[in-house]
Amino acid sequence: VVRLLKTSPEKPITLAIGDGANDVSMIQEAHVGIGIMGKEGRQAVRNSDYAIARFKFLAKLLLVHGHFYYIRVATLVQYFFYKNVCFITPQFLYQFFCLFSQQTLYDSVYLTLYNICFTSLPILVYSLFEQLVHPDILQSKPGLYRDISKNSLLSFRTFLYWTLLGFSHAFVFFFGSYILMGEDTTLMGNGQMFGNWTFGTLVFTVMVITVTLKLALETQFWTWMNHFVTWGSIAFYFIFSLFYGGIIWPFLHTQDMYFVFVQLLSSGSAWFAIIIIIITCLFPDVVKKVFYRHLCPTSTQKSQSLSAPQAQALSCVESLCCYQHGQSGCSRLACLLEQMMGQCKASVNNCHTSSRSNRSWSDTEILYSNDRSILTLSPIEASRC
Amino acid sequence: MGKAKDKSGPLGRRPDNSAFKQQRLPAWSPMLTANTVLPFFYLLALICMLLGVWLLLTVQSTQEIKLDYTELGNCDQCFQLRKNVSYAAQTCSCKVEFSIDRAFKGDVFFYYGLKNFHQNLRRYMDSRDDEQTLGRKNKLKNPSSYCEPFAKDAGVPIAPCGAVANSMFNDSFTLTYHPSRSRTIPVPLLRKGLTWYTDKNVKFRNPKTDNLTLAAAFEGTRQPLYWQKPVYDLDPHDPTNSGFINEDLIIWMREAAFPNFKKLYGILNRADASFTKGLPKGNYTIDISYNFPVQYFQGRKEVVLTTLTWFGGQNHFLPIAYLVTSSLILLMAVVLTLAWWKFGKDGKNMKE
Repeated sequence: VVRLLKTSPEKPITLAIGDGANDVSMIQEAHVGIGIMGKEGRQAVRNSDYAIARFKFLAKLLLVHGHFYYIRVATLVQYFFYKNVCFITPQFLYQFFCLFSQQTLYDSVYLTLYNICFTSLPILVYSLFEQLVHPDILQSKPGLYRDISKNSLLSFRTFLYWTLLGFSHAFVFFFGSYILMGEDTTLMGNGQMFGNWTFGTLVFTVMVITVTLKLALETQFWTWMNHFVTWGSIAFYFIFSLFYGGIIWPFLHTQDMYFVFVQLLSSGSAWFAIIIIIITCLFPDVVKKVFYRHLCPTSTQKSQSLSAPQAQALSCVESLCCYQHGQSGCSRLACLLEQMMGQCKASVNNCHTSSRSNRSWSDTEILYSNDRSILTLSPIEASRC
Repeated sequence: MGKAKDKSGPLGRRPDNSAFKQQRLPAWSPMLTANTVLPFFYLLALICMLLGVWLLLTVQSTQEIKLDYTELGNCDQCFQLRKNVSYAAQTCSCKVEFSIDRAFKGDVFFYYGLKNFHQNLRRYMDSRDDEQTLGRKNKLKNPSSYCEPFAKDAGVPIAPCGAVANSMFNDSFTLTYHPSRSRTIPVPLLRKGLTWYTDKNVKFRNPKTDNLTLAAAFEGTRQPLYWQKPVYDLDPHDPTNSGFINEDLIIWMREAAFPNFKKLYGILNRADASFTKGLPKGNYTIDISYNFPVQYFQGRKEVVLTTLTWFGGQNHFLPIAYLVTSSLILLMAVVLTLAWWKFGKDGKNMKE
């Protein structure tokens, strides 16, 4: 039956779920096979792509985890191509000016470290933590799943957007810097001229900052880790460049980058140019995002804007407010929370209604607190609201 | 509450219940809406406009004169002479005249410029040995193989080796001012302080002399093939400007990014009584010792005199870019305001 569905005209992506040995062939045939660990043994689980413990978990798996992971992976792929297009296109454009002799615009250390050090962590943290909408909203509104169906985030249109964005940014980086330096203008007040490594470093600096800020624009869920890696990557680039250019390296026959970065940064013109180029690149993107949000918002965006207070109420529910038979150690936290969020006392009455809306939770399920420490364990035994 | 239980039983392999592992980290969820973004746009447009106007006013105060002297006046004879390689040893000099309408106030900078000379060619840029110019003794007589074929001259190592040093620009200029028909005043140019401080003092060092003369320190090496003087004789009057630390050499070794470039030759010496305020208006001549041949690569040579501001030379791009960007931002902000007013105000579109 699954094979029949797979060959139907729309070519759908099929999912099969089962828990027994008789379901194995169906699980293997479908695109996504899910096995349930249960009374009928582990056969289904061993042959499946994903295994869950209860049938009801399928809702959360599909609507929450599936949604998040799809968005994360799709953005990861698109962003990776975008930042590498931004990286390589200025090098290509430079060839028109150096008689196609393959002279690199950036120093070889920058070539190596761009993808490893300067731009790798922000997207890594994005693809681990990004949440477009609160998970509870996703579960209560299954229709939001339609926003990402039919592989929409990896469609040709989205790919074209990211790639063309990369090319246009690269053109702005290169030609912006080229027109600024004007081929023969000095950028320093003392008349000294820059060389080609300084020019390349200017393009590279603008590029690293812009691609990182582009990802910052895409990120909708800023945890402390996102802040750390985003601003940290840019800071690391500056610190590394100062370090690398501040030493005469032994055993190297060229010292091309010696003090180049400091000279670049000491030119007021260069700073103004960096700022204007970054603004020129990112501004149209911001305008586009705001336009689309107001003129044709997706259902996900609608639920983002309206449900924020609802989400807050939910998180209050999750917190210790409801469980006034405070458990050991957590009751202190409960008092703290009640003091911080003044409305907690009132929401005790909301416990009934809110927990009903979370269909996937059962009364006996262990509920967790929204504690602020990242690595502490704090399970709380649930008590009836 | 800690890991009090042993990891056993039906809940033994449950993952940790921490905010980190359960993806419940506290986070800020910004949303780019018109209310948040529009005030920022208006502010940005205003700031860019102010900056653009300020930069434009600053740039207007710079002055620049460019003279292409490749075939100008009697430099044409030198140009024809240099077409023939066999006359390379012959000196040739010519005079170029120009006049200034408005006095150049402040510091005046004298540049030479080349057109169509690709200092950014890869093999050209690779052909140098920074260790040799750092003054490392082992590299002085043993230049890197990257310098080939400009590393050795019939078995004798070349200092400084490589194509970059070999093609050093060797025209020289003397500027004279004619306040009236009979009088001439030579314009003194400072030929020091032209390079980056780190270039002159760290990146380029002469090999250690140990009480020897500079010429003796370079014993056993030969000058590059296209040079007329050995490296220790580049500035006979000043030993701190000879050898690898010669300022013209250092400036030339910093390869330009594009084929049309200019490099600093001298700065007006305002200690002289006649030029304390800059260059007065009037007639000037430049005496050029014409050595550098440019016809092989269809190049041009020029001389540039310019005043500068704190952010550099006569470059209208920055102020124009700021003004254009600020007007674009303003335009988009207005359009966005209208769109928001009509369609999205009070979350009109956000109701499901």
